[in-house]
Amino acid sequence: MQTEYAISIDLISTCEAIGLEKHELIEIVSHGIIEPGGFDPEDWAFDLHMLSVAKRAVRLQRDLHLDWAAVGLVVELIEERDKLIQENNVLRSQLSKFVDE
Amino acid sequence: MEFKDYYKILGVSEDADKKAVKTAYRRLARKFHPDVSKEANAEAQFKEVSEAYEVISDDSKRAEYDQLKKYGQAGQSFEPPPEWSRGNASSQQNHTGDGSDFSEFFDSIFGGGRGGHGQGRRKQATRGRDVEVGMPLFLEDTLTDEPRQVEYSLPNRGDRSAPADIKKTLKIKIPRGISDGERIRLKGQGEPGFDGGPAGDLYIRITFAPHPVFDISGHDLLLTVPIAPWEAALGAKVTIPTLAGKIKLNVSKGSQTGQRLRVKDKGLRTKTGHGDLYAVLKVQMPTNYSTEELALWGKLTEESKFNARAQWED
Repeated sequence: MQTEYAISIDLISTCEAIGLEKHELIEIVSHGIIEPGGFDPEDWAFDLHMLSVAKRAVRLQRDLHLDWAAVGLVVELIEERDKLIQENNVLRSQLSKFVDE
Repeated sequence: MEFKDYYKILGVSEDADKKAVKTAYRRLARKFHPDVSKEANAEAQFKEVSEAYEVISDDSKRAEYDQLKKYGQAGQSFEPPPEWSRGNASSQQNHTGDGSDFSEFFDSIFGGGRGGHGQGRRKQATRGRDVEVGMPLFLEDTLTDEPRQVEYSLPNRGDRSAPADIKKTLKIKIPRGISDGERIRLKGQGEPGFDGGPAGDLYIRITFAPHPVFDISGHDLLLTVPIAPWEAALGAKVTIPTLAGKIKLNVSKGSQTGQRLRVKDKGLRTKTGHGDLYAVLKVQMPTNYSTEELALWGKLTEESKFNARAQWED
């Protein structure tokens, strides 16, 4: 049984994991939707978060017929929204301990 | 199997032109897309809409469907007529790239996505799909290296003699320093490949269960510590909980509500060390006063020069 934790994933494996052609992944990176470490595509190193962002980007592009620039914007806004929701939850929880109803 | 009215799902008439179909799809896709939608059941709704669009936007599939529609009605049980043979070779492509899971109804007409129907289809090695499962963790659980069991099921496609879902159990070690919402990837533990293709991956999404006492900020923990007004004034040693047992906290003389005291290394684990615990002080007033206590507060009123509303004075 293989239970490895992949921390850093190269271009080829990332393409396989997302079901993308190499040129499509390069397109996603060129729009700054994800920013892998490394200078050349051959040296690019992706992490799991980038993988899930890229998957989401591909879903949005295919399902909503968006161009990549729009996908970049939507992905950024979704991430920001998720971060705000999380922050809001923490603040709410803290506030509830501070303010007596 | 239930007959699906794809026109109704898209909310278009049977003679709707391509443009109207596309517009209807885009509107519904925006509404139900699981990445952006907050609608209940968005994922299932989106699948229905995609399936309907796959058929109605494709001329030959639409013609095939229109033929069949004469035999069935939405909501009713449906079997393709015996003489029905998949005459049109329109629909052998893979629908969505990462594996379709359209309905049984769709498969029965258009040959299905994977492994099952579609006799005479050219076999092609296909990667199995990725599977994602959630794993809720208590904050206390993140402090140990104890392996944890994860159970999940893989949909069975093709093998009709086997049960509908294949149950799988794995033992995994939660990586040190994992954060809320982070994923663990287990390569090759997803859905098996088809016709010699590689297996998909398993993603385990970690979610931290809300803690009744601690709030999380990155790898730090926040704890609200109620203190009595005289403890705030004179200073005190108070006992506070941490994830790993109780400790004593020094509250210094003249403390205030909202003041944060850092307790080093008592937060969540990071990859190499520990975050901190922040104790946030909250001066808590008593709710009942004895006569003696009231007398003491009265004395304080006479003695003290403190004005709580000094900021409003001119």
